[in-house]
Amino acid sequence: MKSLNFGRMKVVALKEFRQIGRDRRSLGIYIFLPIFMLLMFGYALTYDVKEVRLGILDQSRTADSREFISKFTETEFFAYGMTVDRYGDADYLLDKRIVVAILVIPPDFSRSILAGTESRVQILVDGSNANEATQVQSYFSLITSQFNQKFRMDFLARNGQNQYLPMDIRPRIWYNPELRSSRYLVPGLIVYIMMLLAVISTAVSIVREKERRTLEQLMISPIKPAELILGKTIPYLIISLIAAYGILTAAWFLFGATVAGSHLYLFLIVLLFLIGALGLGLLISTIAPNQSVAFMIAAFVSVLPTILLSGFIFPIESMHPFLQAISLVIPGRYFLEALRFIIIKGAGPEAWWPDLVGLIVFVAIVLGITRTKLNQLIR
Amino acid sequence: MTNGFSIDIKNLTKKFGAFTAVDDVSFSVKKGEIFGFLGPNGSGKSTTIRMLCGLMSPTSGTAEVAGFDINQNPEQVKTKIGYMSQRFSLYNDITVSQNIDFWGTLYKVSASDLKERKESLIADLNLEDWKNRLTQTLPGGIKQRLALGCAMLHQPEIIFLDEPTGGVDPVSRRNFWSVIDQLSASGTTVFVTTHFLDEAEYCQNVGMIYNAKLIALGSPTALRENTFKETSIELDVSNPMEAVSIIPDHPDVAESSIFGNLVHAILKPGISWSPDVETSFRTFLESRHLVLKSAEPVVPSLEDVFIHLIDQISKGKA
Repeated sequence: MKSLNFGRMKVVALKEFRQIGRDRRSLGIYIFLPIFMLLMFGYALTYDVKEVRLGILDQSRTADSREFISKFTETEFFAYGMTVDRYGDADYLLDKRIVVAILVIPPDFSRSILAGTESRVQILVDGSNANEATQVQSYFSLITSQFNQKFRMDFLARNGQNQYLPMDIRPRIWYNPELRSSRYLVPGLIVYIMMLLAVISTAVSIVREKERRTLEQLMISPIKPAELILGKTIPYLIISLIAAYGILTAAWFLFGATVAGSHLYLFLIVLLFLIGALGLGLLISTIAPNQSVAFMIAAFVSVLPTILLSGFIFPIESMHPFLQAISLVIPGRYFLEALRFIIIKGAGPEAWWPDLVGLIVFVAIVLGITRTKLNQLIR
Repeated sequence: MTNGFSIDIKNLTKKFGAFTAVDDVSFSVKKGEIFGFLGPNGSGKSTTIRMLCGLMSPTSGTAEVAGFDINQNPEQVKTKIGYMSQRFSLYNDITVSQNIDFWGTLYKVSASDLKERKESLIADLNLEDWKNRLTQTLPGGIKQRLALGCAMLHQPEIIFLDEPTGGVDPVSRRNFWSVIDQLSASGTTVFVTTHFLDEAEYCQNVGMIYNAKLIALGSPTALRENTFKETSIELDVSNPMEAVSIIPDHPDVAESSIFGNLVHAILKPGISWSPDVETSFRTFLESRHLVLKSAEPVVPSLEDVFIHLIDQISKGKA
């Protein structure tokens, strides 16, 4: 193989950049989609429940009941919604979603506590959003048990006994202490955007040359196939890298999410995956007869399984065993897992080497098939 | 290239499985000649060009293009030839100037040469005001001239033009052929395929390919004379549809065919057109209640030649 001509590669890449710059539709996809998705996932599509509007039906109206209520409203999970006067209003208020939950304190709240008998406090929750309802329920239990604990200790102290707790739970959450979904989603978003940019745009751009017959003209020119392929894919490699780091920067800027692990490992893993993804785009371009078919195939094999089966949105552990088995052949799964290890946990290769092996196998298979297909196409 | 040929093809054959696309084709093209390669779609025209351009290797046989063997040195061949097809219309979404730079660089034209050739190309085509506009805004005829200019930036010895005038208006077609004449005059060999058989009259030599085989080769004049040794006449008759079936009954006629509103008749060997023969035609037709408005001998077109040859082949098979 004779050496490659850098000038020819450069002129192809330059032409590609010019065409991308001219193509408003693609530009929109490259620039606005990542930003839009980051904002969507960061702000709108968060799984975190916050400031749930709480209605309060306080039938006791004592110092104890007010203290109990304040335990709710001073957290960031609940916000004071309104005071409910009659139990009969609950139906209407929840129905119209004026409040999301209603705390019902019985008239004998203080009396029962002082008498040492159980007081039955009720919470009514709008269950239409299951995730939200579950979280409200668990916050409610947590706050109530804290209140119980404190109350019991005070009771014991008053009776001159030791302030003693058999068990004290102090939860500490590692890696993502604020339990922010946005942070967890950054790696998934990178995988998604990489698939979209590298696979779809590469496939479509090559098929476009086939459709417009410029590919034929290029093949008749003395350009070597390797020069042509590198010249055409390098712009998409660069754009994809910019998009990946753009997401990381934006996530840091908007949510304060930083990369916990090694930037070098991060870069190498991203690069490895991109090579496979560009190869996949090339492979699709050898099969697809026109741009719309190329787009469909690319979307079907890259973006769709990445969203559904890589663990981006639905955790792999909770999938049906059959789907779990399928996810083993989704390259996005390995990339995503490795990214989460590096970005969120700051883990080294000892943690994510199985994912690295998965990625290497993916890249090797894709490049192998692509090579054979391209040779068939050229000769 | 000691033999003075730009293209020298020997027993070129291409098979795709059981299908033979090009069957034992041999011919040569002189340096600076305009060679027309004619044939219907699917006859093996494109496959032949693809082999000559080094895009495809032949199953057997060989060809020397610009002094290089297409089997042994396809890469060398590529640097010596230019190629332009009807379907190739440059990159529409970059500017005229960027297109010229792109194709020039691909062919490794040095920066100083490229600058000079670009300026003269832009001046020739009057594109001074257009050079920084998108290529898609150019009118069809100019775009096609620009495409030819881009294919000639590296000053190839041979230019292959694959259906270059398809989809172009008649005035632009005529202009384009005068450019081809200029190229040939300056020593460039022009290898052109077309299915406009009237255009083939501009060529010094033509080859006709049909069903993968070369069925005719020579100058347009020689082809006409060799194919039609008999005289052909054109008749304007009152009822051409009826006349065409009656005329073969005339003792001097070998065959007849309809040609628009007119009837063409080929006379039997040895009989030439004369006032006596014309009178006998008039009488013959009048006896069948048809009026002969006019009659005169015609020079057969290349289209006639082609159709005649194909007819003979299909008769031979039957």
